[in-house]
Amino acid sequence: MRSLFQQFRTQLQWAALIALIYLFIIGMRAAHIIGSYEMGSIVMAGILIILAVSLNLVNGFTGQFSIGHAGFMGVGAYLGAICTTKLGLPFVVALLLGATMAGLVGLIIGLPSLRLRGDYLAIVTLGFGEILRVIFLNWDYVGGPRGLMGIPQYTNFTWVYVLAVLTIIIIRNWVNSAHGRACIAIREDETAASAMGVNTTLYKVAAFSIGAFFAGLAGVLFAHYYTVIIPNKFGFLFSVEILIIVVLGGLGSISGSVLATLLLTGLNAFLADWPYPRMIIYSLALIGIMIYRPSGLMGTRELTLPTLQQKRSISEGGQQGGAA
Amino acid sequence: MTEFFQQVINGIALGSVYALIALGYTMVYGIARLINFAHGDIYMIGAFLGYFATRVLGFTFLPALLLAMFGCALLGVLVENCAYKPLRRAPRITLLITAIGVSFLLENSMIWAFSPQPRTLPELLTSYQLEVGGLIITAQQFFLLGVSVILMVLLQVLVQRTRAGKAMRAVSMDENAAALMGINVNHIISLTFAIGSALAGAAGLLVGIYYNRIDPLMGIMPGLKAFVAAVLGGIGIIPGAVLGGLIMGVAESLVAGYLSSMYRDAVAFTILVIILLVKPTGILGKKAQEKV
Amino acid sequence: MALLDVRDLSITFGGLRAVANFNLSLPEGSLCGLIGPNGAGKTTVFNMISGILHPSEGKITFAGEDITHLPAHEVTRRGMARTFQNIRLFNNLTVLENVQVAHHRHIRYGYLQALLHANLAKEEKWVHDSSLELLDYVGLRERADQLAVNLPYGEQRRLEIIRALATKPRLLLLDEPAAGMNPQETVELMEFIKQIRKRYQLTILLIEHDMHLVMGICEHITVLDYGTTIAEGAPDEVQADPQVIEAYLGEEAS
Repeated sequence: MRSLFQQFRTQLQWAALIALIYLFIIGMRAAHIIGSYEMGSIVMAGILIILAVSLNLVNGFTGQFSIGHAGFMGVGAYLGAICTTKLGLPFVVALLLGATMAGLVGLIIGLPSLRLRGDYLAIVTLGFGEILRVIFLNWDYVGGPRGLMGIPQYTNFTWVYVLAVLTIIIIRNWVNSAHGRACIAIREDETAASAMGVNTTLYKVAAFSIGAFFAGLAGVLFAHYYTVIIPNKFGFLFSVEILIIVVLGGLGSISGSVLATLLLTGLNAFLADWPYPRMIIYSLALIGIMIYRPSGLMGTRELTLPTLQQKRSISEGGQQGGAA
Repeated sequence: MTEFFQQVINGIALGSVYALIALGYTMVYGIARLINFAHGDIYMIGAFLGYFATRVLGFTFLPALLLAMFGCALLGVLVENCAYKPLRRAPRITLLITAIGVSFLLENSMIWAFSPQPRTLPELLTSYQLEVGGLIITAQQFFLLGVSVILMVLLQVLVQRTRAGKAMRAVSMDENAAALMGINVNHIISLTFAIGSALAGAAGLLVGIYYNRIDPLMGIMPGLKAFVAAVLGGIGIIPGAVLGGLIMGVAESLVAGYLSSMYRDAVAFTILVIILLVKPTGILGKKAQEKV
Repeated sequence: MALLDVRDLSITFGGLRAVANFNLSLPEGSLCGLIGPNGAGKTTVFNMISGILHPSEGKITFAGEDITHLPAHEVTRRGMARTFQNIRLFNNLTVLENVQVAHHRHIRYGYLQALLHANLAKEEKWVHDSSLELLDYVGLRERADQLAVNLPYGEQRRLEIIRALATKPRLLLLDEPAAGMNPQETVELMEFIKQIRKRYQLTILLIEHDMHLVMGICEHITVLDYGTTIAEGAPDEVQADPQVIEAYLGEEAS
């Protein structure tokens, strides 16, 4: 294992980099090099990063095929919006409650569902995601099909950036812990994992709930940026968009999810004038990637800081992430 | 009481559409262990082919039906060959995502080519209605049910009485053993896709006539619901698809009639969730054992 | 009192009774074998004992506790570990990580601590060091950072065994540990099994087809055929048993 000093130095380097990126973007905005439209894309990218990384925890690291993630985002969005618009609660409370509620819903759905495997699990998560959407659609208190309007715009770049960074750090912490290792073992071979003492159902549900929690968090941010939310946004189609990002980046790579989000956001902005050909290009690209490079951009590898390319002794451990 | 039976009749008509689409899902799953998410879109293409046949070429019902079925069969085989065949040995998630990609591709190509606006078909069938004891059965419903039944019977004959059908059953049980017995597995898989897609195409045309409205995204919901039907009946089991389709159709009809049509879609997903949690292998399904 | 006591264990799949009335009594510290032709039900017995399969009938008592219907991870937590007939390593994890995962039952820190990376350095270091030590013992330390799937076959087998040992079991179930090995490797394996039994104070039950190994190190052998026990006893008794010879008729013992 690396010495405490080495670990601390790496963490310092990452902290510096994170702060620099933040200041850079703020600076660009202040100097009007980036306009409000671009800022909107950046904010959306941050929200997508939270969604992608949290989905990656479930699909990539734990190997559980979930395609209902947008439903949890919806739970967070609606509850968060209720907190601020109907109950007049502060933004922080909305964030906490929205995320927690989403996590709880994840727990409730996960418990019965995660006994299923593979295709069946995918379909049941799809089903639950759609049920959530239909609930929002028929719930008049939050506007039914017309959705909920007049949500105060509390979300800004700072909020999204900080929460995205926190999400990445927390999920990375999990992955690098014994509990994270248990999840990855489940992905690799569930039977062997349970034979090694891992309570597989418990961990699958845990990963699922944690993923749902962060999806809910993203949902609150989303609602308080666009100020309007409609039920159909939180359906199967959006779940698939998030899944595409995760797969593109690499199932089991946090940095992959971040990169893929940035790449797709950039592409979206570039192709914004041609919405239909854009989707056709994406579909073709998706099929092409699945056939020729299914491991995505990063596979299961992570980005490390250049200074870490020193000679590492064999006792430094495996593939997952060299930094912080 | 007549209201109830009326809904049931409507439900059976709807259910036979779901059954036709579900058959394609279930056959493909049985043979290739793939949930073909693009299947619903093939149904949509069938409707558009029917539109093309009737509006542009001026065909009558039967030629339009044959064109739709044949065209979709070709499309199904094309998709299988280009997108699924290279991934035969790939993990399931890869196949699923590819299928989603194909689905998006089909939908967005059609939107780009034809605009998202819905279109209508010309009058192909009479507006004759049969009245029995207060219940109304339209000619369209008759046709829908009749054509569906004929197709299903043909399928049953094909699967149970022909050599190709036997080969299909063999491949779905054990692909390697079938290959060792001299069965050309690739051909059989393509044949399965062709037949499943043809049935979906027929369903598309029938629905296009029945509701007189087609648009590029019309395949999403029926596709999902038909999938639920296939799972309900037992995925991979052909009679299961028919049973599941009918149950789904009647359930949806009753809920829409008695509760509210807002909950139409919810019915499908609720059934899905319940069946997956209670008996994932479906009504007619058997439990599968994993060898450790 | 026996460490493992199995009584009237049976399991039925569909209409087929795969194992019927299996009995076994393992004294603590013993080294016993379970043999029989292919398809006799040996791995099924293992799967039932280790909690991967639920028996239809019967009772399994481990260290005085009824573990019949416990799931696999609970059985492991009580001190039983196993290897698999077809090696089941965590392929995309490194050799070191494979062993680290097996330390799971010893982990005390909770989810929140994991998420916040708080107060776990000491335990993580312990797991890390313990895993390296185990790898050292089997000569796999240099391979620590390699992916398990890239290891040569013999080393994969060793890794599987040492991974099982990381759970600190009292009873170790080995499912065909010598499969695919040549005579030289088999002899080394026999030595290895004897060594770990002594070093870790294990009770060992193994399934094997290699008669040389079975007769060489097992103190007591149970013979299974079509799901029922057809003979049991000391190696030479079993070897001479006519029913056993008949069951194996046509099978080449290596």
